Amino acid sequence: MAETARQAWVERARNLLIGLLFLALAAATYRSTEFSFGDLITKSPNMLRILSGFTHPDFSLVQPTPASPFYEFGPLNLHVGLIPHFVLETLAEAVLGTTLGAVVAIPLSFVAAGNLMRRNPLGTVIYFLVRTLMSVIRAVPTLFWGILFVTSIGLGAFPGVLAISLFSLGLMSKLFSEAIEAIDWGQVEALTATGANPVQVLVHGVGPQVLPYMIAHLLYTFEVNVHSATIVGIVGGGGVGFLFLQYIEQFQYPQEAMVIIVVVLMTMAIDYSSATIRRRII
Amino acid sequence: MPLPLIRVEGLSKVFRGGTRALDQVTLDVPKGEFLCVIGPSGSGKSTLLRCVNRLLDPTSGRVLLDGVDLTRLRGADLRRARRRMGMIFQQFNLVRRSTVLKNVLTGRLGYQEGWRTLVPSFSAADRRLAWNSLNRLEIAEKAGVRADNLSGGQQQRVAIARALAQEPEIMLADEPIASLDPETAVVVLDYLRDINRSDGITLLCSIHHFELAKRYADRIVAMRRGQVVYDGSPQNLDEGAYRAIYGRLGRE
Repeated sequence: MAETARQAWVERARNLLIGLLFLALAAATYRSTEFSFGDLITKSPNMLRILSGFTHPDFSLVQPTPASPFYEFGPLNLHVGLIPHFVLETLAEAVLGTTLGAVVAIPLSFVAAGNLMRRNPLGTVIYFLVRTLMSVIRAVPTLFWGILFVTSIGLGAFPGVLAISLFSLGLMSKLFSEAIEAIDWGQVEALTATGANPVQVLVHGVGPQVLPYMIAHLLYTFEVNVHSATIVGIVGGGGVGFLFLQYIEQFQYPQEAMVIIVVVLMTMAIDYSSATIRRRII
Repeated sequence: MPLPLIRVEGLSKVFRGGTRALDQVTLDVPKGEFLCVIGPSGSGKSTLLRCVNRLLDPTSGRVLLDGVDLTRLRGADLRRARRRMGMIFQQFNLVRRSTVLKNVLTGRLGYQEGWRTLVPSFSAADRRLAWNSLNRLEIAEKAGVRADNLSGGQQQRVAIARALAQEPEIMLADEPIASLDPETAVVVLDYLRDINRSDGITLLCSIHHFELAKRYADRIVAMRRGQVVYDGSPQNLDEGAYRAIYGRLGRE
């Protein structure tokens, strides 16, 4: 009796201590980030000025004009407005970046799956090498990759695609290999027992188990990549991020508002349809 | 005396961590016999079966299939030996997202050679064999259904059909009825007995259900703590022998 009461008291004291620690941490960072409620109030007219764009967004930017350039898409020459032109470029970057990333990530994810590889010393070494390489790639933010490629290659969608495919390679190889590690090993054993070779076991036993998850992860990565493709434009990697930066720098708030509206609608539409498909396959 | 189909000689298996799951097990499985291995859980029944087809590698000892030492085989030779031995599992181990027919077709994978193993397709002869197995287990009407939509008993019948499609000489059945209700268990054992009697396929079946083992087996091997403690006819297994196998545990 006394023992449990004492335990409860110790637990309460510990929780209180952890709570106080977090408060102290927050107080310290409050100062070091120069957080200021005063500024929030004195600078509010600036914010209101930017937001005022939303009262009369510039709808002409989503309509084609005689002057607006054509967007080349395969054999098609699409005559679209300025913002849709850049949005299409953003989506194209996301599609190509996801595809390139997946082409490399699919084979790598098998080599990065512990249950397949950590069965002998050589496999374990390869497994750790690939895992480490992938975590390094993932640890470099997409924007860093973007700036590195824009600086070395030049402005445009191409360095943007490289940045996106590299980061999503890291993301997909992690998601895919985790899907492989979660398989039911009994199904693998059953096929091994029939006399199937390792390739046949992968095709007939591992494949059917992981394919739906791989498709779902691929769609999720595409959602992430649409976000990334929007942002890389800000550092010169092509797409609608370029317009976002340009309008804010030139104080064109109705135009800026229109860009934000289109990006939000596009992102929501893609997230919603992708989530719907993902729910249906798993 | 002719060579037995399977001869296990001084087989031991020590797991990492030191657990001795098999301790000098020696036994013969003659061709055509329905042999049941009984014993409490942890007695080594499962390990014995899995060492025969090398899902586990034994620590020492030999397993002979028609006089060939399975413990020395590697690569393609091991796979050719495995296709002669069908295996049935307690948890069925069907590829759950694949159809029943596709599952049974995987019983033919061991017969594909060379480039064919890289292509996920099966010959007309393989398909015929798969359909024959499905008909044999009376589950052909479910051929197009995904395996995870079947009941436990149906899944085990599909798993037996998969093993049968291998045209095996022996079936290793590892607790084939432990996940099934009593009525379904008898149905599954009836199929196994029919395959044993009509097709002459030898059966090596681990089972912890004492009464059912006595009813279906030609011969019973009892294990305890990795050792064979009884090897003989089901009739001689009486109350006393039962206590010796299961210790002071009561009848189930």
